[in-house]
Amino acid sequence: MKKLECGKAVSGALRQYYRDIWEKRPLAWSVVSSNPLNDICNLLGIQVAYPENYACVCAAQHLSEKYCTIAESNNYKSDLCSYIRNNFGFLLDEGPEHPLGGLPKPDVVTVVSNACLNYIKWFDALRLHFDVPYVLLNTPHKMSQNDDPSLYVDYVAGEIEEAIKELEKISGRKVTSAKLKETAHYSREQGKYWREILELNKSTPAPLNFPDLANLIFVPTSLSGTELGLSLLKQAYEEVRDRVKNGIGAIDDERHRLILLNIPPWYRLGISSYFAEKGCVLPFGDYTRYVWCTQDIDDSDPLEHFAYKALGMATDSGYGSSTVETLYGPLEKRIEEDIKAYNIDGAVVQINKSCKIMSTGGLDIARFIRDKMDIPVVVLDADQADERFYSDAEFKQRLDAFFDALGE
Amino acid sequence: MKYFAGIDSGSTTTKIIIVDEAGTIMASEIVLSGSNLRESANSAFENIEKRHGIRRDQVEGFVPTGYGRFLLGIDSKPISEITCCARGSVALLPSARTIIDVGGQDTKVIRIDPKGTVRQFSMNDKCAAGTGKFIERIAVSLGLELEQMVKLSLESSTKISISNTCAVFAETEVISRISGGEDLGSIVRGLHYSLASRVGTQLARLGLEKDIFMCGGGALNAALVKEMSEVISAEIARPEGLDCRLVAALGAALIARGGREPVA
Repeated sequence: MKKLECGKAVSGALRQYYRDIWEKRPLAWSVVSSNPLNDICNLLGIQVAYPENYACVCAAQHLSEKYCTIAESNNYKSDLCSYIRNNFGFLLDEGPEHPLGGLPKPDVVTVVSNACLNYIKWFDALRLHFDVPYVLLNTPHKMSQNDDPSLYVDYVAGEIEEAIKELEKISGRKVTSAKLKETAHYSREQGKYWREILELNKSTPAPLNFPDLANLIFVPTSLSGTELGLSLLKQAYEEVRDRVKNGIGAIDDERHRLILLNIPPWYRLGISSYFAEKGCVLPFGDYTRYVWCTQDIDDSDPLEHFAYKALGMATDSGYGSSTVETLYGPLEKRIEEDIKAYNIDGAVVQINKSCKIMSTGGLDIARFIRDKMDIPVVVLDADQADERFYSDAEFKQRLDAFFDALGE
Repeated sequence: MKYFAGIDSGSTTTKIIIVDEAGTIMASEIVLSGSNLRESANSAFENIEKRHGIRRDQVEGFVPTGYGRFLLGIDSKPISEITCCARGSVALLPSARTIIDVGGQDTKVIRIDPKGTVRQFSMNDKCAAGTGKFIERIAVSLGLELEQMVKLSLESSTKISISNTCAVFAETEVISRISGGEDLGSIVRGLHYSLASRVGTQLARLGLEKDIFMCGGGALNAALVKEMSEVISAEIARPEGLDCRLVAALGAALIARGGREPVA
C-alpha cells in the first residue's frame, strides 16, 4: 500500500498535538462528534484532548483488554461502550506507563449531546472524577423535515453563546466576532476539502484506502476550526488530486472496491493488508463519509454555522450524518447512490458490539445491499476497541468466503 | 491413477477425502483434531494409507480448508470452508440452493447459485448457543450419549421452551427443569427446538431458497434436522452414503482435482 506524503505532516501534527496536551493549559477533555465547542476551545487557546481518540490509540496498542478489565473490575459494566471502558480503565490503572504518555487531568470537560447517547453520562462521570467544570451543549435529537429549522438553530446558537461565556471564564480570554468568523471560515473550508477528497476517491484506482482516510480524519475532527487543520487538508487534497491525475492507486492491482460500514476494529487496522492482498480497496464507508463534514454550511453568521454543525448529527435530511437518524430511508438512498458512484462491488458490514448507534439497523443495510444492489456482503462481528470480542480465525474465515464470492 | 485430497481441519475433527480423476471418492477419514492440527492431519493420512493403501506421495493435489487450513504445513492454497462446503454440497445434490452447515464451532448458512458458486452466506454470532456445541455440552452435563439425546427428542410429543441466548444459561435452565420434575424427553426436544429456531433466524435473515441441504456434524442429529424442518416448514436433504461431516472435505478434494470452477 502506498502511503501519502502528507501523512508525515499529519503524523507530525498528531505528535505535536499529544505534546501540546501536556504542555498547554487550560486543557479540556471533549468529544469529537461534530462538536463546535472544540472549534471554540481552539479559538480561545484551550487545548483539547479526546478520550475517544485516545481509546483508539490504546486499542491500537493492544491495551484494550487490560483497560476494559480494570474498568469492569470497578463496576463499569461490560455492556458499556469500549471507548468509555478504555477511558476509565486508563484512569484507574495504577501502572506507570500509558500509550503516548497518557492524558493529563483536564481543567474542564465539554460535551455535545448530538450523537452518542453515552456522551452525557460519560462526561458527567468524568466531571465527578476530576471535580472540574462541565460544559454541555444541548442539541435537539430529532429534527424532522416538517419542523421550522430556525427554532432549532436559534436554540442551539443560544446554547453555544452560553457555552462561550463558560469557556471564556476558563481561558481568561474573550471570543471576538472577528476570531469567531475566522474560526467558522476554517471550519467550513475544512469541510469542503474533506468532501473534495472523498469525491476524488470515486476515481479508479482509488487514491486512498480506508487506513489513509482513518488517519486523515484526525484533521477535521481534532483540529477543527484551525488554520493548521485547513492547511493539512489542503495539502492532502492536492496530493490526492495528483494521484488521480497520474492514475496512482492506494493499493497495487486494484480489482475490487468495497464499502465499509461501521467503526473498524482499531486494534486490527492491519487487516486492510489482507484486503489489499486480494486486490480490495475500501474507498469509503459510512464512518468516513456520513459522519463528519457532510454538507457545506454557510459561515456568514458564525454562530448559525456552528449551530448547524452541532445540529448536523440530529437532522434526517440536511446536515447529517449519523446512521441512527438516517437508517430508515435516507441512508439506504445515500448508500445506493454512493455504491454506484464509487463503483462498489462488495460490502463489508461490521456489527460493532460497543456502538449501538452505528450498529442498529446494520443487518437491514446488509440485506438492502445484498438484495437490492446484488453485490456480495460479508457481516463481521467485533468491537471497535475491545479486542476480546475479535477472533482472527473467524474474521478470516468469513473474509475468505467473501473474497471467493467476489471472484478473482 | 491420480489422487486429489481435501483436508478439512475443523475445531472438533479433521476430515480427509481422497478422490480420483473422475471425482469418485476413493477414501475418507475422520480423526479428532486435538491440540496439534498438523499431527491430526498426518494421522488421518496414515489411517488412509493403512486402510486404503493410498500413500500421501501419490496425491497430486491438496486443498486445505476449515479453521486450521493455514496451520497444516501443506504447500497449497487454503480455501475457505464456505466455498468448499458449497462445492461439496452441489456435487451431492445439484439442486441445492441453500446449505445449512451446523458444526462444532459455528453454524453457516450459505446461498449458492445453480453453478454452486457462493452468492451469500451468514454465520452465527459469537455464541455457542447457535452451534452443535450447544447440544453436546448439555448431553455431557446430563450424562447422556448424543444418540440417547436424539432418541429421547424424537420420541417426545411435547417440548419445553429453553432459552437459546446462551449455552451456559441453557445448561443451568435444564438442570433447574430437571430438578423441578419436568419430563426429560420434553426438555431434550426443547433443546433441539431451541437450536433449530436459532438457526432458523439465521436462515430467515439470508432468505430461504429450495432445495435445502444440511451438512456438518449437526446433520447427523436426526432430532435437530426434524426440528429444523418444522421451524422452516421445508424439507431438508442430507448427504446420502457419505458422513455429513465430510462435505467440505469433499468440496476441497474436488477443487484440488479441478480447480475452483463450480460444476456446470
